[in-house]
This record gives sequence, structure tokens and C-alpha cells, in this order.
Amino acid sequence: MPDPHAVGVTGAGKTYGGGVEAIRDVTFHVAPGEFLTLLGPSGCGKSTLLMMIAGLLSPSRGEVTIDGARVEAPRPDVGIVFQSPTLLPWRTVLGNVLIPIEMLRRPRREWEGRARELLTMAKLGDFEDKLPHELSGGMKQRVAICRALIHDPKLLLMDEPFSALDALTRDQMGQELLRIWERYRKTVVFVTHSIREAVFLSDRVLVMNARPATIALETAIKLPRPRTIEMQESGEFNRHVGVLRHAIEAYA
Amino acid sequence: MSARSLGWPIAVGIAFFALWESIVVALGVKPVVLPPPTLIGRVLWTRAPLIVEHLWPTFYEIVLGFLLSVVGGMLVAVVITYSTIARKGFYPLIVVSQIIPKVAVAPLLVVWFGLGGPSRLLLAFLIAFFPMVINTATGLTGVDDDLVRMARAYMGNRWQIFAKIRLPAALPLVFGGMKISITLAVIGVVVAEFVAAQRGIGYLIVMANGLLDTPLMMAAIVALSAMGLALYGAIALIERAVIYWQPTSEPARGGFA
Amino acid sequence: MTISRRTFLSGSAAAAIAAGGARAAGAQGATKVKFTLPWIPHGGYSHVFVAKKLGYWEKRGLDVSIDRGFGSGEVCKTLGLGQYEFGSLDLGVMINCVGKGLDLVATGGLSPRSPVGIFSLAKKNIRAPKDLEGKKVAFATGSGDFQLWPAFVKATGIDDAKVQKVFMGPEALIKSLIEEQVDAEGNFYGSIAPSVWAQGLDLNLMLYEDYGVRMFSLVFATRSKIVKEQPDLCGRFMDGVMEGLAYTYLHPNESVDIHLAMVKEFQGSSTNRDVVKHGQGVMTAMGLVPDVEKNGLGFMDPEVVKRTRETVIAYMGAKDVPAADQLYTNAFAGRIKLTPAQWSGVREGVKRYVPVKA
Repeated sequence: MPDPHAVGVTGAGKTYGGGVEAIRDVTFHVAPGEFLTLLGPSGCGKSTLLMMIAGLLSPSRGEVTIDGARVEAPRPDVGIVFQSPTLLPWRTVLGNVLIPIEMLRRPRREWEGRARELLTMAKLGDFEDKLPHELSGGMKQRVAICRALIHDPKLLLMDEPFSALDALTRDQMGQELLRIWERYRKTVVFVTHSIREAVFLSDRVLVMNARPATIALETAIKLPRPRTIEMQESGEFNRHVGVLRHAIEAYA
Repeated sequence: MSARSLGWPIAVGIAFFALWESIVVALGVKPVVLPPPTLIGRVLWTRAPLIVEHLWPTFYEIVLGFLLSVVGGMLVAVVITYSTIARKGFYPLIVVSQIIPKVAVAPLLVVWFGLGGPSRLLLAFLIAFFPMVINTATGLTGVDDDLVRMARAYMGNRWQIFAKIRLPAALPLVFGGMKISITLAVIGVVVAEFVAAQRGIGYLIVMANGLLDTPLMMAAIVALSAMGLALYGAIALIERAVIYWQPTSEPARGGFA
Repeated sequence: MTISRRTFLSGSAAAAIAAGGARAAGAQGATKVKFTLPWIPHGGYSHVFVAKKLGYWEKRGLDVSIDRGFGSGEVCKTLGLGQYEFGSLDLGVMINCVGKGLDLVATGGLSPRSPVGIFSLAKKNIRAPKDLEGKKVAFATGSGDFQLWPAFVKATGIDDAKVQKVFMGPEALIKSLIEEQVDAEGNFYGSIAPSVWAQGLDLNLMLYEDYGVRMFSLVFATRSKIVKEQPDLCGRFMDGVMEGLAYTYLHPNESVDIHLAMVKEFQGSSTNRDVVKHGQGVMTAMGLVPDVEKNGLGFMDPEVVKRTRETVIAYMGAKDVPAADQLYTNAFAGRIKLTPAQWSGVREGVKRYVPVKA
């Protein structure tokens, strides 16, 4: 029977060389097309967990799978966005978006059309020949998101992608992200320390506490989609926020 | 470089030469000790064919020695970046080789390799290759770890990471190294010519000095300096074309503006 | 044929060589020969440029290239290692290098009088060795004149401790004397005098040999291997250079012109021409000794060679130096001779260059 879970984390633990236990016994699953958020204070291991799903770190204990297969190394059906855009300063916007294609040794020509499509959709259509130093922080992250989608991955991993941006840009980017996600319906595992952001974006939120990281609480966000900024005023929204905050404070 | 920013060095230069000329004339300094700029200029003009004839072989050897040191230095840098054994084994030797004054080694090189081009090229190479090694190695290893992690996340292999990430990221430092190396290559070849050449601008300087023909000697030095400046400028120009994504290592304009 | 080095160099084969050397070029075409001067090509070496320009080697089937040298010590090495076929250098330095294992033999004399000594501007009034006490004297590090300074001190009995010595690179010596940064300096007559005279100044000099430190100075040399295996080549080369030397003695002005034409770096001013002219005059003057007038150009007095060898052993720390007769040969010397009348004319012409003991 094919594994119904897009991502499976079972009993995962991570201990570093000096005996520091970063993660202890974390188990969760992500359904295909689901938007899942890992929420917790900074430095509590949620990024480490994401790196294990990405195949950049291996778990000391337990197992991480994608589509039922154990994750051993980075995979071509995964796209990742980091906290800083990590664009190559010497490449144009278009050149940066096409990086995954180059690394996978696919012919660049065939994918340029898709790259332009993604950029247009991210409202960067006129900027394809610009260099990163000519863009604002928000624009650079949008390029990074396009890059994460160019090779049509099934899974999108995002590690606090908006925390380096100012609050206004952050809200805008959240909306942009939802718009893109609605369009392409990828599975998303999102990491943040912002409670409001977690509620606004996700289908489900896992609250994590500090080292060693474990899951403190799991809650489903029962807000209708598409989500709008106005929803952030509603009582339902703030009830969710309250629950999450309580969980974080209780287990801090 | 705008016309305005060129104006300042020219103005300072003219003031300097005017001062020099007047001091020499006023104090009655003998040309054999310090010739006035006008005399040097006249010699530069009247004996230009001789000076150019000697400038050419020096230029050729400088460029060749420089290219060898760039290629050699970068290769060594790549090796010591990617091989721990190479780094631990060779790096201390490379450092020691730099501490030995090359001028002291020059006569030995002549005994082993003869009085010809190979000795001079070797000397220029030995002097000029160390900055290339250091700068290239620092550039390759100093690349932002986030960029490397991003490349790994997108399944880049070691070669792709080297060619597409480390090498371009290292270019600013590589060019910084090249600007130092070209200067050292000039020094290396000219010094080698003092002790092991039958032609070249260094040879001309020694010959002029041997006859106490100070005006010719200084004219040769001026020609040598102009050539060195042109070579450095060529590298700076190439740097600006290649490193288009950030300001280069040239001093910033504007100051406190 | 295997002849021992000793018998060979004693000249017993001279007749055979003389016959061979006078032969014109063979059918093969010119033999390439590399020759090095001891230092930069200043006026004292006009004879080699004359020999080349006027075809004295060409007509003997030799295509000679002339390189500048970097001091007699370096010439020993490059000549001894075979980078040159022939060279010109100081005999004392050559003997020292033979003691160190280099294979060199002198094939003819150029300057029997040693130009090494202490020089000062006339205005300083340093006329006798004792006048050096309390003065500042410059030497070039590693120079022959400094190596022989102890011999000079011994021969003249001056108090070495009272002489203040400073050291500098050879290039700086002459200028520092002219600029009076030092009172006197050790140098070579042929190097220092022309430059100082061209500046319109006058020199006082004390040549070591006038105070008993007798050394043969510049000679032509090659590896003994070449003397043994290619005596014909040696003969042709030496005849060419001696013919050039004769021309320089007899036609000094034309020689200066030829020199300047072939060494372009020295053109450009009358001062430069004077330096070349004086340098040539000095070298000619230093070659005027009775036994050369009697035996022909290039002849080396065996007694002087012996004395040179002894001085080298005593003052230059040379060990394992072969006997004097293994260090030189007169087999190629004396084949070009001037008449007594010609010698007279030469002497008259270089009267002002003959160093006079103050």
C-alpha cells in the first residue's frame, strides 16, 4: 500500500558531537497538499528538523521519510527556502531561479519559460535581468521562492523565510505565498516563531518547545480558505493565537 | 574615472615636478646626482628607441611570469583547499619559501638554470605566486556557508559547488591577489635583470648607472614605472568588467561627501 | 692524444697550435662561441668589440657573442660550468675558484698591472697610506680590493684599527666618493678613474702593487678541457682578441667609436664618450709592461703568476690550489707583436693614464 503521507517523521532525534541533544523523539506526519507549520521560539531545533527533511542533516535516531522512502540526501522533488535569500550575487534574477535546473543537469533552455512564468506570477516579470543587489529584501525572497518551485517539487520546505523582513512586507509576503500555494498546491512544511503568521498561513500547527525539541502541542487551524488579512481581526483567529501562545508559555 | 577625478593627480604631479625642477636649479645640484625633470624628459624623448627596445623583453617576461604565477598559484590554492594532506604538508613549505629573500637566491638560480630567461621567470614566479595562493585559498574557503548549503540543498555536487559557487565568490579576492602579483612580478623580473640579464630595462638601468649616466638611468626608471602602472591599470580594468556585481577593491570615491 | 696538463701547458705543443691557429676558416661555416666580460662593457673592453666589428674572429671562422658579466666570481662559475666558452676575469679570483674545484685555465693576459687600490679625490690630499688613518674608507662587500686589504695593511704598516671602514654595494661606490660621503674607497682603477675624470674631478691613487702587493689582473680564460681538446679553437679565439687589442692600442679614437656603435646604451652624451675613452686608455696603460713589449701581446710573466697564486693562498683563504704552471698557458700568447716604435707611440698616447705613485 503506498504511503499516504507526503512526509513522515518517526521518533526522530538529533544529538550533536558535544553531547548536546537538540531533538528528542519527534513524531509527526504531513498529508499531501497540506500546509503544516512548526512553531516555536528561536533556536528550539525546528530548523534542524527541517534540515533533516531536506536531507542536509541525518537524524541520530529515528527515521525521516518522503513518500515512504527514507531521506538520505537532498532530493529533486524538494524545494527549500532559507531565512536569507542566498541568491548568487553575480547572477541575474532569471539565472538564480534556474539554479536547481543547472544542478540537476537539465537543459536550461527548456525551463526558461517556466522560470519566467514563476517570476511573472511573483510580480517580478520585469526584473529578470536585474542583479540581486538591485532588489529589496522582499523581492529577493520572492526570487528565492521562485527558485524553490522551478523544478516542480512536490514538497516545499521553508525555514523562517520572512523573519528578516519588516512587518508590512512580511504580511504581504504571507499573502503572496498563499496565492502561489493555492495555485500549485504543494505540500508545505513551514517554520516560524511568529504565532500570528502560523495561524494565518497553516492548515495545522505543531508547537515545539526548546532543547531538547519535542512536540508540545498539535492543533488544526479551522479557518476558511482563501485566507484574507481581515481574518486576522476575527475572534476565531485570535482564539487560535491564544491557544498557541498558552502552549508556548506553558512549555517554555 | 571621470575627467574631474583625473585632474587632481595631474595637478599634484605638475606641482611636484615644478618644485623638483626649481630646487635642482636653485641649489645647483649636479645631474649625476639628481637631474632636473626637464632633462629626464629630454632623455626619454631622444633615447626613446633604446628605452623601448629594452622595455619590450622585460614586459614580455613580466607578463609571462605573472601568468605562470596566477595559474600556478590558483592551482596550488585549489589543491590545498580540497586536500587536508596537501594543506598540512605543503603550506608551511610555501610560507618558508616566501621568507627567503629572492635576491639572495637569484645567484643560485643562475648557477642551476643559467643566465637566461628561465632563471628570471623562475624568480618572478617565486615572488609573485604566494599572494595568488593566499588570496585564492582565502576566497575559496571564505565563501558564505549559506550559499554552499543552498547549492547542496539543490543537489549540487562537489565540482558544481566549486565552479558555480566557490570560484565566482572568490573572484574579488583573486583579483586583489592579481594586483599584488603583477606588482611583484615587475619587481622580480627587474631585480633578476640586475643580476642575470643581457637586455631589459633592469639591464639598461645597471648600464646607465655604471657610466654614471643618471639622466638615462632615471628615464629608464620612469619608463619602467609607467609600464608597471599600465599593467596594474589593465588588471583593474579587467577586474571591473569581470566583477560587475559589487564595488571592487579600488579606493572609494567621495570620501566624506 | 693524451698529454698531461702540465706538459701541455708548458707550451711544448705550441708549434702545432701556432700552425693551426693561423689557418683561415674551414669549410663548415662559423663556429659559435660564447664569451663573457667580467662586468658591464665599459671602455676597458673596447678590444673585444673591435675584434667583433672588424671581423678578426669572423675571418677565423668564429661567430662570437659578447655578454656582460656580473663580477669575476660569477664569471668563474658560468665559465667553469660551460655556459661560456671563453671569459675575461681577474686572475686572482680565478685561482681562488680553481682551488674550489672549478676547471679554469688562463689563456692570455690582458692587464698585467693590477688596478686594485685605494682612491680618493685629489682635494682630500691623501697621498700616502698613512694618510688613511682617521679617515672613512668605503669598500664594496666581497670585492677583491677588500680581500687584499690585509695584504696592503701588512705591506704598508698602517694601523688598521684607525681606518674607519664602511661597506656598500658596488654601484654606490663611485657616487659616494664624488659626493664626498666617504674620504676614500677601495676600487679598480679602470672602473673609478674614467667616471671621476669625466665629471671634471681629479684622483689620488694608491695601487696595491706599488706597495708590494703584486697581482696579475685581468686575463682571458677557458676550461682546461677546451684547451686540451680544442686547441685550434683557443688559438683562433685568442688571435682574434689580441688582434683587436693591438688595434685598440694603435687606433684609440677609432676604437672608442666602434665601442660606442656596438654598445648603444653608452651613446647619448660627450660625458659618456669621455668615460669610454678614459676607460680604454686606462686598460691600455695597465698593459704596458716590459715583458709584454718583448714577448708579444697576451704574454703572462711566470713570476707574476706565481706571486699572484701565493697572494691568493695567503689572503683569500684558498686551499688545494694546483701549482702555478697548471693555472695558465702562454701557448696562445705572443703571436701578435708591436714594433718598438709602435710601443713608443702607444706609451705616449696613454701617458696621462699611467698611474703614478703619489
